[in-house]
Amino acid sequence: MKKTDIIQRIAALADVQPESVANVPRITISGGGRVLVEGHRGLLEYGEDRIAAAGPGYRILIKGEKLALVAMDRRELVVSGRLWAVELE
Amino acid sequence: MSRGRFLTGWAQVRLSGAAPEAVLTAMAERGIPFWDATPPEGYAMTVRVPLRAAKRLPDMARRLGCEAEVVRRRGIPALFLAVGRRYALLACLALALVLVNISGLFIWDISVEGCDAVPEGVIRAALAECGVDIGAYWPKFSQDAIRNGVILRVPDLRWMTVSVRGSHALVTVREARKRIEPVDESEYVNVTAKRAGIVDEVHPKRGTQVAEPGDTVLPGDVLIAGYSTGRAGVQGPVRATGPVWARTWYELTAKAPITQAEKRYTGERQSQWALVLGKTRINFYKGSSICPAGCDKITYSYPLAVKGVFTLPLTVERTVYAAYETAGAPVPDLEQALRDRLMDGLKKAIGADGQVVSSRYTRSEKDGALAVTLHAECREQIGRDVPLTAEDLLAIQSKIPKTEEYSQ
Repeated sequence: MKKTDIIQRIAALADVQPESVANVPRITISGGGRVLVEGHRGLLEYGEDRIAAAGPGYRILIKGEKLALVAMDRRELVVSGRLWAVELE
Repeated sequence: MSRGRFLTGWAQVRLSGAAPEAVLTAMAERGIPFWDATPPEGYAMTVRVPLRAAKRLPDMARRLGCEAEVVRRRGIPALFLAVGRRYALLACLALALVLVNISGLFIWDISVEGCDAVPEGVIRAALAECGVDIGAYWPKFSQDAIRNGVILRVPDLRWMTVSVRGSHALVTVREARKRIEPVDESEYVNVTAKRAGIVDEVHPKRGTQVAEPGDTVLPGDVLIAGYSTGRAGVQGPVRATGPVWARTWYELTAKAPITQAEKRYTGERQSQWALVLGKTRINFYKGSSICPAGCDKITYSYPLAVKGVFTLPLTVERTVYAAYETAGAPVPDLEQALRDRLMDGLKKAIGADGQVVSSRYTRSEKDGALAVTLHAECREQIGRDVPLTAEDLLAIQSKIPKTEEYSQ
């Protein structure tokens, strides 16, 4: 079992939000046109219809139309555009 | 683009390679902010970064198997980079800044506001005599000295001030109110009719009523005589006062030609250019600027100034001569214009307290002219003060009963 999974389980038992104790991503969708991804691990793919960011062991895939990377730093990235779906692969 | 980014400068960078997104990730990890990242097209994308970070990108991209190329630089630091070692250009820029700053200490434009009865030219001439003129050094201005000097030269002004903003002097003036001349109570006058009419009401406040309601009076007829009467008869001369209302009739006619000469531009235009440096004018044309017959002269001025910020003593003037032909054309709404003019004249004649009881218009055309006549019945005050003559005074004196006769 990975260290992150253990921390997440402990956090779940303690009724604590996992992202506050482990470095797990938190995805916030505002309306239908803006996504904030906190705790990402890099940009994997960038296109007008799909943007992919790396998470711990999976990909955070944002699908939509006229997507644009508004801002990005080492912990967070903001995507705007017309959203269709946010998937974890 | 925010002002902050313009001040610090930014660069547009083209990222190309197998995975330009990796460069974005690397930039994020190294704390390099970026914005306006366009999605990749054909393994290339563009992104904007702060100018200071643009230098680091080529190395960073190379390590990730990509290429980074700065395609555009903008902002103030970029401007300085562009100027580089062009010292002459920098010197010219510095000189221009110094000149703008120095010229801001002199007056290059004067405007006057608040004058109505006093001509602006008179005020400008007085200002020039007091030192407020084109090219004057405004830090030496003394508000009190200018105010006193101008008011002394133009007594019709009550107050004035000069405010300077960016080589522009705004002169604000207040005109003195006209004094109402006091009535000379020691003067003996009759109230006489100023025009013919039928007397409607007489309210003598002083003097002896002569005209009665219903009387027909002619101009000059005495309405209230300038003497007082008592039980013993005439007591002596006075200043007769009191309103006298009468019905009056007017017949006013106004004439105007039915057609008028109308300008039609032929399309032929000619321009002359000139440069005005302070008070010196440099013409870029030969001959005079007198407008030939059949031409309109229109002058456009383009001062080198930013309103409210600075004004330089440099104005480019363009004078356009537009040729025209004249042709007869009917005057629009002529009859209504004549009617309005007649009614205005009537109201002026009967005064502010007069009333137009009834009115009608007649029109006639003769020899290409339209004549409109206004027939009106009015009610107005027809009294006018007329000083008593020496004969009048003698006649009044003769009517005063002697004291002895009265005592007997």
